Amino acid sequence: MTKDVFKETLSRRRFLVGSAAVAAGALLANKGWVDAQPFFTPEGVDIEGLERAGFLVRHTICHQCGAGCGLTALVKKGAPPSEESMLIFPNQSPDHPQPGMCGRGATAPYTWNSPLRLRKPLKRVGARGEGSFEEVTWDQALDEIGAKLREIVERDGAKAVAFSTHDYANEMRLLAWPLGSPNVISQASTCNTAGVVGRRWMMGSGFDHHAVIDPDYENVRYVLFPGRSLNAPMGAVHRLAKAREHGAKVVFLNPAHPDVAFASADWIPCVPGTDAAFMLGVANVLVNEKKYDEGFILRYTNLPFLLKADGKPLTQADLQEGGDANVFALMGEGNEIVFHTDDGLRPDLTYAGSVTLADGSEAPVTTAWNRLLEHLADYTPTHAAQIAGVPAATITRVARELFAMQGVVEDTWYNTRNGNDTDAIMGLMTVNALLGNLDKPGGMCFRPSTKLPGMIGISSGTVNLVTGDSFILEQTKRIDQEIYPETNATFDAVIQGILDEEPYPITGLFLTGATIFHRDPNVARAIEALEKLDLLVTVDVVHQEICDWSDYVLPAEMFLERDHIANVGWTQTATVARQQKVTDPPPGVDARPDAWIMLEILRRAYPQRAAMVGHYDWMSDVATWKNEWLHRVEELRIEGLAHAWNRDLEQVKAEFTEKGFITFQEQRYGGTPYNRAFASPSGRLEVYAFRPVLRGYREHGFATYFDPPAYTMPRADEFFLVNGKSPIGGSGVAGLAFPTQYLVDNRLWLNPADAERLGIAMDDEVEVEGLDTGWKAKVNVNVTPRVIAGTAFVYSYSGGHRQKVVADDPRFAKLSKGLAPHWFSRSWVDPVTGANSNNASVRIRRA
Amino acid sequence: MSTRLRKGQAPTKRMAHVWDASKCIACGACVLSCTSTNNPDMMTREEKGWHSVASNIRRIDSVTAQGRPEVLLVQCQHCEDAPCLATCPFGATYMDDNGMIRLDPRMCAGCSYCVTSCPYNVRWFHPDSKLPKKCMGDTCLELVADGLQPACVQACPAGARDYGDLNDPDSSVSVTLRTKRSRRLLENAGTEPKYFVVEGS
Repeated sequence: MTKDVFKETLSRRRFLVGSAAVAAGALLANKGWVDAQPFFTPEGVDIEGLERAGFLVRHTICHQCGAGCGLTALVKKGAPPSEESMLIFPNQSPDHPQPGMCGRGATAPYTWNSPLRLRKPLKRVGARGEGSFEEVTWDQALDEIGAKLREIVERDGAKAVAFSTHDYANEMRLLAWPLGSPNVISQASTCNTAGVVGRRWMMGSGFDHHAVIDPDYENVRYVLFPGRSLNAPMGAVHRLAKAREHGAKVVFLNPAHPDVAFASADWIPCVPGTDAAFMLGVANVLVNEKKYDEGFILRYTNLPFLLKADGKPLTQADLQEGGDANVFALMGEGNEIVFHTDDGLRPDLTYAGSVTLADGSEAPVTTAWNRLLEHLADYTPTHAAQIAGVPAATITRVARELFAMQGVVEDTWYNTRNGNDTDAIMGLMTVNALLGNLDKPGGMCFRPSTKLPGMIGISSGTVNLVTGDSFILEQTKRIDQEIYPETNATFDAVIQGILDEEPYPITGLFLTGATIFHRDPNVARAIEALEKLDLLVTVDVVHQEICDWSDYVLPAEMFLERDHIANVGWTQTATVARQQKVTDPPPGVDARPDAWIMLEILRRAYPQRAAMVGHYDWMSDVATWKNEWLHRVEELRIEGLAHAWNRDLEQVKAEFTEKGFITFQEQRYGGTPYNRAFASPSGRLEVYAFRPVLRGYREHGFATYFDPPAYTMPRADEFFLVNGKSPIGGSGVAGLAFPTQYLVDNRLWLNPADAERLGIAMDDEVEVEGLDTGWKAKVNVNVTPRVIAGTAFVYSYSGGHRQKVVADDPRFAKLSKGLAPHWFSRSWVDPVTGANSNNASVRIRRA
Repeated sequence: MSTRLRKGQAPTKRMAHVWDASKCIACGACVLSCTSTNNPDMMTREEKGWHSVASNIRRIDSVTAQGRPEVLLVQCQHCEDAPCLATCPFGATYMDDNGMIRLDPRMCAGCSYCVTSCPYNVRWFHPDSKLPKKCMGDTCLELVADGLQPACVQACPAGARDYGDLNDPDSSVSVTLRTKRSRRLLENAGTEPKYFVVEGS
């Protein structure tokens, strides 16, 4: 035995190369990488030298979560696909704005050849949820799905077919839109909707996406993260680490202690759903202590604008016959009305009085600033602290530090939790507005457009492909938009369509990379809906729980197997990255590209509609389709990109191949709002949001705290149940990677004070019961001060996986344990924003 | 290649690990990279002793005296007065001329004295060979022999890990330890560990 170990030791070679040697998986334990080592030098990577030595360099974009960090792979030329023939590491360029690999990215090779990887098309043979399938050919699966789809469309109409995804919306639109269904609905409502709507209400469309505005991490002096754990992307983490080196202070406001807070950051534990109160308390201190940027407020916010008694802004139409209702009034310094479109405005910030309207009547008006002072009077630090469960002195201290250190409040990513989250975003943006620290070094800055053409888009009902193909989509309003006027995507509307058949029935559902059971609240209700569907098709990389409920399960290519081009998010540069194919699928995995799957289903159901998007029967062979359709699309996108930036096409292609990314515009400061207006009705940062007031959604436009409507408020010995992501297994794919089950805690966190009161010790098993859903489950407890008293926490994706393949494989036993937090949340949806809610309230007892 | 020190010999280098707790985001990349680099055969197998992934780095969650949540990454400390070296009946555990504590599997009988005597509890048993494993793993030893950094250092996305020679005043670890507050684990155990924890402010 000892001799064998000795042989094993001697047989090992040097696998890791240069600074590229990272968490690259089992692939490292193989011979042959030593020859690549000399080509990795501090001066850079000699790609041509590597190729001469038998290696290919392939840059790609990590897709183990949605953050899209830059990775590079070294591949042995001509070797069969295996862990031994590829080596994956972070993109090595110091100029890449988003390089890196966290615990999720490190699991990529294990996802690639995971025992849970989908290998062949599956057709359900047992009851829904049972997990019994037979393997079928691609032809059989696609033909049968196409026939069923046609049956549904002809019986219920195309809009009865819905689609949902996390990252593959455009691919799904290739099927949905030619079919005539507008219903491609992402998972936004359980992720970012509250923030998107809050930003849209204050800054306008184009400024609402969660990756558009971000702290200038590398230069921040003080940054407060309300409700965000910053577990991704790694470029932001890396840049923030640089800022820390220079003394930046980092503060997390969160009911549970985020992993990133271990890195010398302050953690302020707060009661769930109280961020708005905390932020308005901070704003109260700022205005009372005159710690605000008055120049910024006067010029770039709508706080000097006049409001009528009904809360609506005073407009030119109110004052003049035939005046413009979109032109807003202010009081000039000379006590005369001026309009926001006038040049050289010098408005009075504190005017209160009356004006004569067009009909001759007198109307009382006051500035939004005056109203803000009245509004904030309700949010003294003491009162806000009572709500948020923090010391009043903490609120005062944070406000003073934010002002003194010219800090910023980060605007969150995943924020649909309690039903009052849009106001939390508005509250934090109110603080940012008072600080006036926008588009400056260390401030909140904006990502410029990369000008990368999309594969498919829609404008005024006309669908346009980058190929030039074009057609009319008769109905463009999605089912969720018919219910929730401000939503960016609310999947719950699909559930309503299935269960209640309102506003119309949904009978067919396609899911791509959409875990549902770990994504959407109220699992019991989702199951009820899934059981009612006539057709459920799931396309995924690994066998998720949703697969067990699907009629057909189709194996999709993993990111390591894809060619693609995409924007780099969460950076203030205009950067586009290239995703190059690293490897074929492992032996036995017959995975296909998502776009091809959609197009082939369409072709088999309606060949003439597939022709509308340039897909024909001779493209049923995947290799032919890639060479013809996909290659053309990606080439045209790169051409469009080169043209938009006035760059030489061949140079652009060469740079993508060499570096994996191109930054077309470096970070610039001083743009918005100084030289570019916001897209809000006033063109300003609207601390008093006009849009919801003018549209009748709200009586006033300020952020307001109200108790979370998303769940029954817990009483004594009941708990809020909150969840968050880990930088190890915090995604649908990485959560199912083998090593993740050992590195992510899937116990329920309870504060020591709560545990002691309930007589619960570390690792005890407890029963958790949802107050609203009644769902009961057993779980072990981690007694830890990492969660505030009165709240229980669990990492999302880390446990509660109930698919049969997991239950049947003892290697994955730990994935079955723990909780899926969505078992307990009832799926309360804000009637205006469409934001869903993932938090819940529960009762906890010793099991 | 580094060589085994004989009794009374001093190492020419004193290679040390530095873990900057003030930068660590507890993402697990180092833990995972250690396993995938040094023990890839264990990537789909549980380490039965710790009921965890078979890594030479262990994560320990704890709380400071002030009640602040704390994460600690623990691994072989490459102690200058290593108990495992003293207790090994077979001479399998030794210090090399880089000051690293090594294990020669040819001389190891799997008696587990080293596992028991380690105050840091960082050795684990490979389920097939029944021999102890610890930092550095075989592949990392090859890396550092080539002048490269071990896998955990290269994997860290937050720049929280470093490895270098304490005898070199210009090495990055020496500079860090001169300019930042740091501590060693179980200082009063008298083992003179060469694993340094940089503390936050």
